[in-house]
Amino acid sequence: MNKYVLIGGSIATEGAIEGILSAEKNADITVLCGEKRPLYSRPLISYALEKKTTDEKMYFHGEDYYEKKGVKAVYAVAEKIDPEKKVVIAEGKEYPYDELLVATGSKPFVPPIKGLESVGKKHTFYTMDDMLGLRADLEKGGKVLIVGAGLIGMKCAEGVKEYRDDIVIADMAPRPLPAATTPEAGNIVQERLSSIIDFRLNAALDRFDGNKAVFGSGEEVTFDILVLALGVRPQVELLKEIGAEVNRGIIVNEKMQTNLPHIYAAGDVVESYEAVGESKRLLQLFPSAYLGGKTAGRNMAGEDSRFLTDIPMNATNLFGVRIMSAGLFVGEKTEVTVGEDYRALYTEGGVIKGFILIGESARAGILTDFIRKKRSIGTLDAKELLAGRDLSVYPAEERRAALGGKYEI
Amino acid sequence: MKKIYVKEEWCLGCHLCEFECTYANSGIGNIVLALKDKEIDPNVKVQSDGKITFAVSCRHCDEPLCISACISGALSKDETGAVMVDRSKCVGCGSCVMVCPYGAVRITKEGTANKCQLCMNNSCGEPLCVKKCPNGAIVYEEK
Amino acid sequence: MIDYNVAPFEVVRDYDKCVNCRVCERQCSNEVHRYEEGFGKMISDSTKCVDCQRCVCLCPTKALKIVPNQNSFRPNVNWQQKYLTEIYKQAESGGVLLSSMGNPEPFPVYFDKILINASQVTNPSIDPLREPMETRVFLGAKPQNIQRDAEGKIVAKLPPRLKLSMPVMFSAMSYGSISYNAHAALARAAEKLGIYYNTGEGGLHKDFYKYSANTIVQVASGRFGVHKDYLEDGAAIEIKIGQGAKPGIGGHLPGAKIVGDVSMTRMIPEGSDAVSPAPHHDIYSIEDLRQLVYSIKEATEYKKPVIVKIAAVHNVAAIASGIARSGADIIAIDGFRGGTGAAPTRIRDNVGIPIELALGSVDQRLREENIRDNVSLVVAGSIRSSADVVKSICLGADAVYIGSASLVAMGCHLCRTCNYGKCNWGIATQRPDLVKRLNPDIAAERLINMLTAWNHEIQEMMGGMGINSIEALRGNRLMLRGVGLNERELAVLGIKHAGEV
Repeated sequence: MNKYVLIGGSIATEGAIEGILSAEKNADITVLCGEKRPLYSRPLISYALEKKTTDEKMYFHGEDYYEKKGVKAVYAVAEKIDPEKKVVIAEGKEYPYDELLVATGSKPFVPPIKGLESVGKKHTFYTMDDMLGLRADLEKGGKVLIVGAGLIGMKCAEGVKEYRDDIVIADMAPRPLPAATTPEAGNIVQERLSSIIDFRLNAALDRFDGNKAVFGSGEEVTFDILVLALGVRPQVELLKEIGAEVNRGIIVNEKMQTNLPHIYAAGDVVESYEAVGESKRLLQLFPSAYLGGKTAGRNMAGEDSRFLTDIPMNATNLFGVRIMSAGLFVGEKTEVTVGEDYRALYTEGGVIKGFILIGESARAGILTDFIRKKRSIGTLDAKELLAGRDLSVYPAEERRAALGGKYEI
Repeated sequence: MKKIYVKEEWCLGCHLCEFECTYANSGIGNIVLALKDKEIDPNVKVQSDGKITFAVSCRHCDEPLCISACISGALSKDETGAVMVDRSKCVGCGSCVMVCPYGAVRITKEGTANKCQLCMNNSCGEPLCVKKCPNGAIVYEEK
Repeated sequence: MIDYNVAPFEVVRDYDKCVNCRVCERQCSNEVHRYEEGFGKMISDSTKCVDCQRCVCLCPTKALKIVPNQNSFRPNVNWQQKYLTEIYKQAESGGVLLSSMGNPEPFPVYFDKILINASQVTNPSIDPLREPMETRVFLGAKPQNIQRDAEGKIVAKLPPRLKLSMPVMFSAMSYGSISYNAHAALARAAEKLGIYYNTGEGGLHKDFYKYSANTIVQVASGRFGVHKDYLEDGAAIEIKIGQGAKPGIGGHLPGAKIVGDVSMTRMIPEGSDAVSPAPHHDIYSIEDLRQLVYSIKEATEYKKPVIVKIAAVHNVAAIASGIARSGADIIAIDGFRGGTGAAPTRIRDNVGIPIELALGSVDQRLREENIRDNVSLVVAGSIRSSADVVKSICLGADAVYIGSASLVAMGCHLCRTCNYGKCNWGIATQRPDLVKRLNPDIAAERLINMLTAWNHEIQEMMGGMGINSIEALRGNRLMLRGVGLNERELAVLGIKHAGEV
């Protein structure tokens, strides 16, 4: 019987557990949870703050997930991997493995800003502990400054809104959501949210002075609670130090294997194959972590599984503004503005490469499938596709196969 | 497991499936009370390419993309293999809508996701659209 | 110009129950129903309604009913309203009135005046659930005497026969008058049940050649679709001289319906009218008929029975006698209630005689002339139930053809507007969007269900009489009694009156 050891207790590990168990029913799996909590869904922390879900429900498969799956959960931080002896050392104990998965994820990036140590109440917004700490501070009152208008910063703001009406979000980019959206889309988001959020854009942080943030322009913002949402860095140390191929993330092939034998990696920590750009990159997305982990698990258990359909995707609802996007925003753009909504489709050589929808987005998954399957737009009209879509846009043979039960993803 | 399959050569585009689905999931015993003056939002929708029509509902995929993307655990597979929705867990993020290649799941007016659950979540027991299709265009079979 | 036309029907909608689902609108090919945005409710134009009942059946809340339009002219037993409206139509159009399906006029229905016997005390009943009941029938000429060889084994040189699992077959309905899907359902059901269906005069579509073992191919006066493979493919060949709904005249399928596969199957150009002439232009005497019968037998190597189908007319007994001597194996007689896709109204309603009387007189005549065993008799012309089947057999038939009953089983509601080609049930139409509505899987199952039920009922009635085979029922007039029939009628039928011993 193989010993499977999974380092990291989040979504990629969940996928790996499902993958291993689908191939080997009573597999011997050990999970080393560095965060020392049962499996929970990280994206839910902003919803918990916002009171749209409860603290218990953040454990989205139940606090007894590992027990239910027959998996041994060890709440200890992995400190070192010995690839010769094939053991992982965590808080002094050795955990031998036949196949190993490194799913250590990322951690928030805190740059060395001048005066940061002088700030009293400062938080990152990534883990459940981060959220609980922030909530405790919010309950005591005070103004909030969020530095970073990316997805994490914006979702955090949604949570904070439950406690505070006046929120300032600062970013050195000219728009919110600079990485997740296009310039046009970002501007629309800003316009629609400007009455709710006090945006300070094109604002590069210079230094902190107690409860004052000073920006490069000279602008100053006072606050009581600071949230830093300046991005995340993959935690590659464990593998880097034993000679794995590492770029910004751990490099893996389509079977989620690192260049070290019997060692796999998945989730936020990897640079893996992305199908639109046809190259390896950090995706750091929830479904990529799950599906990558599942692929790794299947391969660890002796099957041959490849993850070739990973694409960038994002679905979020910020203060009632629904944003959905997938693929890459490259090539020829067709854009439509309908009232407050904005939609854009990107095609290159007739093949749909990406889309972004702000507002009405029913059945967006049909567009995502076009990207995933690299289907050409053919005789379909881009503007009509943006206005709405249903299965009538699929080639008839594929649609019949799908509805008749023979179509697989 | 038995799933719903559509035979588009028999679909008449009558839309009865949509109304029966709404009735099945309404929780109201009398079909008139369930449908009168109500705007329907059924789990099965009749779509058309201008020439033929077909009814689209959740495919209950063997490897559901929606479950892989669901951040709240609202979407899950039950023992029979059907993909079920626990709307009390859903936070309305829309990830499922963004990944479903069939457009079979949607965010409703209430702000949470909903889709066909093979009438296992209501008192019908077996899918009502199948039973009420007048021309055998929707079937419930093992494949 | 004044519109004298009165809508015969009125659509009645219970607005408390109507939920505006618009199924009625989507499913009515006559465009009767419409959702009116301004009113926020459905409205119906009753003048276009033909009472096909499609909307009534599909409405999920049963909010609709179709009733006769109570708008009535002054009552007049002689000048009934329909005579007036028919004159208005002819005054407007100058055309021959056309009708579809069978004669609906109040001529006597003899089946409904005949009662069946049952056993009590002597000659006890047989329980069909416990005793074997033979409903199998063989159609064809019967040998006059049995010859045995030296060992006593029967030396049988039997003429070709059809084997039926029960004494019912599907009557001739042409491809063109009914849809492809209707034919598919009939063919499948015939195969499953072990009986036969009939191509009618529209030829045989190539997709149905696989059902050849259960197909009777028809050679009608227009000879549509008749070629070598067609004759070889049939299990039997039927020469159609006449049809009960329109005795003495031919047929006319308008060019608008001769498209695509219909044109190919009939072997005539698209858009050309399919006119079947009144007589076969090579049959002008009984000798000519004999010649055609034997030509067909030669062409098919004497392997298939030949059926001759005639309409029931005044001289039917003499005609049948001639046919029985012509070499035909089976005579099919179609009574005046028989259905049709389209026929002139006056012919359909006034020409021909009831099948019960025709059968009675033919069977008696053939027995008198000692030629009853030369042929089998199959009757048609509104056989509506298993009771009609049993009565027909008692009167002398070997089997029956069902036409209208088959269509009803598949969904027809006898609205009698087949000739417009907009059949909402997908039966009497060639419009693809309407033909779709008849799913052959469902329709075939309904046909099989109906005949399975009829077979059980026939067995129950036979068992009740103490008879355990169709053979023993055939021509067994002692099992029938008339009620409310006069001496003449009883004599023609050859049965006694109820109460007589």
